[in-house]
Amino acid sequence: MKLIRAIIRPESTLWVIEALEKNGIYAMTRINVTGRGKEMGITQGTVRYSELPKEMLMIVLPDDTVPKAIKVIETTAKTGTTKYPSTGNIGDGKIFVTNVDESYTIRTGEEC
Amino acid sequence: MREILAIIRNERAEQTKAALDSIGVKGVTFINVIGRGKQKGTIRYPDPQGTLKREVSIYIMQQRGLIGNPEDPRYHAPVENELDLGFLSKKMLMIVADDNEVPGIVRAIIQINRSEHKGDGRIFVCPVNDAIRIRTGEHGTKAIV
Repeated sequence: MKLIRAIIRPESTLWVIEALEKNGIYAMTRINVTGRGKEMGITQGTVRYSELPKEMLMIVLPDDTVPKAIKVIETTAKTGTTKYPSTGNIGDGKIFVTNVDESYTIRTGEEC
Repeated sequence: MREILAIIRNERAEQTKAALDSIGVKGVTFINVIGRGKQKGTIRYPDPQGTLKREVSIYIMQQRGLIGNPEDPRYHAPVENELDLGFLSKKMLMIVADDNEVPGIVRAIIQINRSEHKGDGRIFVCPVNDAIRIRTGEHGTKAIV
């Protein structure tokens, strides 16, 4: 079992959720976060925004569906320009995958 | 060392805190999250008086843009006493604890939060490589006790 944490643009969240739904992935947790990457935020004129709002999706999946989910998130969350649709932009986000040892359903109290 | 991620109901957060206190777990991080599980955020509400009729619940869903066009492939006909809310508000607990304490904490959380209804939440246990206390710079297990 793996935990996928995808930090994506808030405006692309609904598209990603819809795409995941089409692939049969419904269960997820959403958290509003702020953060920055190696560009240290964004500078607009003389104003510096050191943290930008993002949305974090947390999804726990069995090992075999993880590559598919990553592919779906990657292709949907990537923004493109009109000229080069698949280039992506700075700030599109990141996906982290970590291990999950055990998971329990509280309703039944059993490991699943 | 392991991290416990528990997604629970908002109204059980205080009780859970008290229960964790009693077994000696002090450090807990609470996060307000929204989420859903296998049921796609559908809740069944009790309606003994029949005050909230099916037509009303359909109307509410339409107002929220959850259902609309029956030709939409995502359209599903609403069931009586069922409301599709999309994402539901939950609390997420993050606890980093020593390996031998994990089963006790998991048992305590399950005991408090179990109501045998859908939406009770889930607990995930993940491995953690290292923990550092910022004040002293201590590493490992010393940092979490």
